Amino acid sequence: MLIDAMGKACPIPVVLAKKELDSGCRDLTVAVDNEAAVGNLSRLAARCGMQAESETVSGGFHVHIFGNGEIHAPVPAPASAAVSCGCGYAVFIGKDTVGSGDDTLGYNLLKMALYTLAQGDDVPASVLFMNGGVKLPAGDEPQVIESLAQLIEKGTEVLVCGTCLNYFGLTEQLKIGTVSNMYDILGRMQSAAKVITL
Amino acid sequence: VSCYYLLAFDSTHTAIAADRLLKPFGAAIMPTLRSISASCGMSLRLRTETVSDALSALRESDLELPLCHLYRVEDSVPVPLALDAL
Repeated sequence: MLIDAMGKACPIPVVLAKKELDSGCRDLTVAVDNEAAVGNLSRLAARCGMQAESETVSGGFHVHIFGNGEIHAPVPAPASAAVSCGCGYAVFIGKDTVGSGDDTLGYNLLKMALYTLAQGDDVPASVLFMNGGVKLPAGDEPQVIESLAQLIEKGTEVLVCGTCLNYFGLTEQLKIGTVSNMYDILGRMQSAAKVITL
Repeated sequence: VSCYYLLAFDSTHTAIAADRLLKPFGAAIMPTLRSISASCGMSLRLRTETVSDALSALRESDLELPLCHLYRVEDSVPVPLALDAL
């Protein structure tokens, strides 16, 4: 089955694909014209326990979704009707606490926030660590590493600022996530419908 | 059926101290379930395999036990238990 979603604004390609998956289709190809849609469709497949392969074709991409998954993934909503692009949401973590006031409390709130995100069905498209935030994926807190591993398993991309790891001398200590850079981290923010800063 | 044990607290300071104490037993900080009316929003999730050792450590610690409340959670439904029930 081929869905032509060329020129369709997000989240239409994901909505169209999910409609087919919900009606029992287990082998479909979606034609899209932007890389963000490829990522969103791949995450939809991962959340449904299915596989996705993409190939570049003239004018865009073909995303092939197949396998025997259970459909339970919510469709990511656009941030508002005024936003014509962007899909899913990104979580930006620029320090190792939530808010300010007390660092111990803030650190534990952040652990709890990551746990809560990881337990939910509507996981972020990406979690982005910068500055003091990189101490979490490079730290020794098993709960944090476990929550991030669960998020990755559910299709979330975890990007960690390499400059920041280097600054704190933590490059060798990174336990989970992909070492990344300003281009990619800003790119994930720009392609998300909304960015949550903790 | 998913089943785990949960410690809720009347004080956030006690919750954070208990996390420090019980981390070696695999305890994880989580939000207090909405159906539990402890005053602190921070709870500890305890693993079934280590819950009894964790509770022994808790009872032997200098934490204020009256501020700690144990639940067994089955299918998201919490059932209160005494701290020395396991």
